[in-house]
Amino acid sequence: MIRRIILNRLFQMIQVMVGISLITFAVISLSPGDPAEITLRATLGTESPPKEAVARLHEEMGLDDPWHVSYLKWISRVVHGDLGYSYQTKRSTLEEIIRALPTTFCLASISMLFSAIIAIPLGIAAALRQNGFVDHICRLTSIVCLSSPEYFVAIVFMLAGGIYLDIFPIAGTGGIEYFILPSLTLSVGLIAITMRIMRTSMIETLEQDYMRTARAKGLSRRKIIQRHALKNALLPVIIYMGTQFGWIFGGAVTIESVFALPGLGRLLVNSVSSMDIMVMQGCMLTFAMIVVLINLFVDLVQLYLDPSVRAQGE
Amino acid sequence: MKRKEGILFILLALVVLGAGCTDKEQKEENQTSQTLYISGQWSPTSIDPHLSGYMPQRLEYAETLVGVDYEGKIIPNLAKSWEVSSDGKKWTFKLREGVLFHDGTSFTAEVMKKSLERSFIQSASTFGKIPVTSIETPDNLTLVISLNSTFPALPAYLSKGESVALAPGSYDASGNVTKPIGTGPFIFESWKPEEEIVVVKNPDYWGHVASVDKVVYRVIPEELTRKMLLDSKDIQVAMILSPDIADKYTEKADYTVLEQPIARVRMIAFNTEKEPFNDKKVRQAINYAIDREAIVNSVLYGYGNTAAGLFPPQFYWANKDIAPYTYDTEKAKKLLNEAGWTDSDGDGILDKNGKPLKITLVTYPERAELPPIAEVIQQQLEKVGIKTELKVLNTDASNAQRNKGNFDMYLVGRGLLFVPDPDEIMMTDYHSNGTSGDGWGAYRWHNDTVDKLIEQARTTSDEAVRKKLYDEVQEIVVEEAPVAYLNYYVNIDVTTSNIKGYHLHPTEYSLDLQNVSIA
Repeated sequence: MIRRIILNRLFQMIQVMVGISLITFAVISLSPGDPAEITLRATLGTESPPKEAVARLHEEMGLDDPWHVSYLKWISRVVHGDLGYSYQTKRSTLEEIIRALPTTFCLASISMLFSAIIAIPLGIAAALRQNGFVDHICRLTSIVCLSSPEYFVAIVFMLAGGIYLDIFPIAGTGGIEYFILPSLTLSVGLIAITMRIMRTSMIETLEQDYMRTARAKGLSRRKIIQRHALKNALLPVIIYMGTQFGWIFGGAVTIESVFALPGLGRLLVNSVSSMDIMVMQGCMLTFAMIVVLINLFVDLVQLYLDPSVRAQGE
Repeated sequence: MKRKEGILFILLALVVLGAGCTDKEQKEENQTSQTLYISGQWSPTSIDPHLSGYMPQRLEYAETLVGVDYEGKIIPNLAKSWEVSSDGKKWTFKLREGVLFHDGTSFTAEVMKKSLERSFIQSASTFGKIPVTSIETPDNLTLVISLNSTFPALPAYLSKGESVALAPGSYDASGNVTKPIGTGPFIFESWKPEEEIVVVKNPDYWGHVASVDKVVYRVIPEELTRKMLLDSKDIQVAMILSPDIADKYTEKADYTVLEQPIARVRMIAFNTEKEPFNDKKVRQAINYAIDREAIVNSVLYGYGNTAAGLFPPQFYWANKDIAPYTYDTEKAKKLLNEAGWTDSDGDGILDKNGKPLKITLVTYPERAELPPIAEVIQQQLEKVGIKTELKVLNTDASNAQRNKGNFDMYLVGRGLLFVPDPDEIMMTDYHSNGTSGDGWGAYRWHNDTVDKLIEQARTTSDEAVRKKLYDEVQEIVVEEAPVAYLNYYVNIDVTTSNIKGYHLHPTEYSLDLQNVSIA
């Protein structure tokens, strides 16, 4: 039965990917610039490729065909890993994405780690001391975090961590230390919401009947929270954080430019500002693919952790 | 649980402390070693200098046959001298003796020939303008370039970074550049796209050996981030800061603010193909309606000079006798009235045949000062009864609008002497072949006299005669006003005060790193 649920999810994922690929394909059709000419500029290493060669490639790429034929030809190339060429760098789009992806992946992962380490304990503390001092501080922190634009937060962290404290590098790449400030910046919004969800979920869980039973059995408060409440209260938090992993990838667009990280976000910004359409498409497809895969993963985790979801599926 | 939390806390603390230590160590190392950290927004698109040559040239790991001095004049470099035949079609370059590539191989005429032939193909958009028929090498130190017509601008074209000399070891079996091996005072060490380029000192350089051991050029697109890196002393040179940011360093003893007027003009191109700018009087009226002084003072914080003609006056090719358009709203209104534009309905906007004078001004934000300049122009034009709609699009999108003719005025920051001779800019921006294409200058503007003068100048060998011809072109362009020149650029770089000898180049040809020292 679980297999059927997984297959169902995979089928949904394929549908989403087809939809995204159609949107991405529309970008080529609506953008200025001739993909055949761009490809030839890259492969022949010349600014003005011969007109006959452009016409031949037009035919091969199906650029003069009706849109659905053209789309099918394009998607078949994409499936085979041919995402075209960057007209700026003359390198293949796939090569560009492979170069940029690890940076963004590191940035997003460390951000997730930060938000988990900071938001979960604070959310629990706020729930256990409802309307107390810690709860008020957490609420205030979360409002400040949510209302601060990323660019502003980035500058504040740069000033604080890079200049006044002088312990973190401000920009560029090197070791893990180069990811601390950008990851903290990126995790600020996530921390605010995760903290609130953790708090609400913990409060709700503590109000459940089985909690009352556990207390009646004489279990200590610590044991009740650790053994019974935490696992159930964490579930919505994990699901939220999982779905936000994709959002974090999107947030990387600003952060990577400010902190000069050569990741996927910066690649996308560069390709948009220079109308490097094949790189633009490649980045969009990659972002979409990551979000879809993460959602699938979150669904599977939820299926594993939450018996009620399994029951619904069955 | 308590133990696990403890371990997690210790691990996190170690990461943070470790990060701090590593960063501090690096900073200490920077201060003790002779490594220059320099940062700008540009990232070369390719490791191949024949495709993207400006950075190899500026970081001095590859060199061209000829160089450019600080007045923008052509000077010897890898070629120690050159002469041209009496018919102007055969150029003989005498190459410098004893020059070695960084891999120890000799720089010879044959290697230069192969390198040039490759660059002419790789960068055909630039070098395609050279009417070359053949390149020959009568001996090891002589290179002869034959042309099918006289072309006095040849040495200027050969100063472009895309024509640098590369050793045969630079290429792989398929002819792609894997590691650029040049002849310059610095040796290419590594390149991380969008991150950094590292070069090290060449102790066997044929000329003045560099003082610093290493130069790390860091690609930082955000100027505020470059400022922060400068404040934290992670870099010693922050390139191209805007006037408002650079201004903050003028009072600080730890820093030096360097200003360099460069060969770049901010200008408006009019769409001369359609109304209202198909009328010379309207174009001239706009020129009179713009207060150039106010733009320099208010938007550029005084960094920059108002423009009269195409070239800034410090360059040889500038026509210094051109009278600038003065700020004169009465004259502007008079010209507009003469062109048939009057405020017949009293709404403050001029009209003609019932059509109000509403125009679009297209520009782009990549040069941060252009949108605010556009806003000031919008206000200034309103004073003479012109309603202006602003369209700020990214460079490529705005350029696409321009090429389709979907604009009335196009505000641009135009580089003038990347080829340090007027030929390229005149052919691209003012000759009718160029104005009907994708240039950046006078849009769809055609003037027979200008065409003839430019053609004559590109095939005349006498420099004084060429100068006279180009002077005349500049004068006609200002009088006919297919464009409005606003002001000339000043590049502002800020260095830490221990950096000596850093020198900006007016044509952006070089950073003069071989003369930089760290005190």
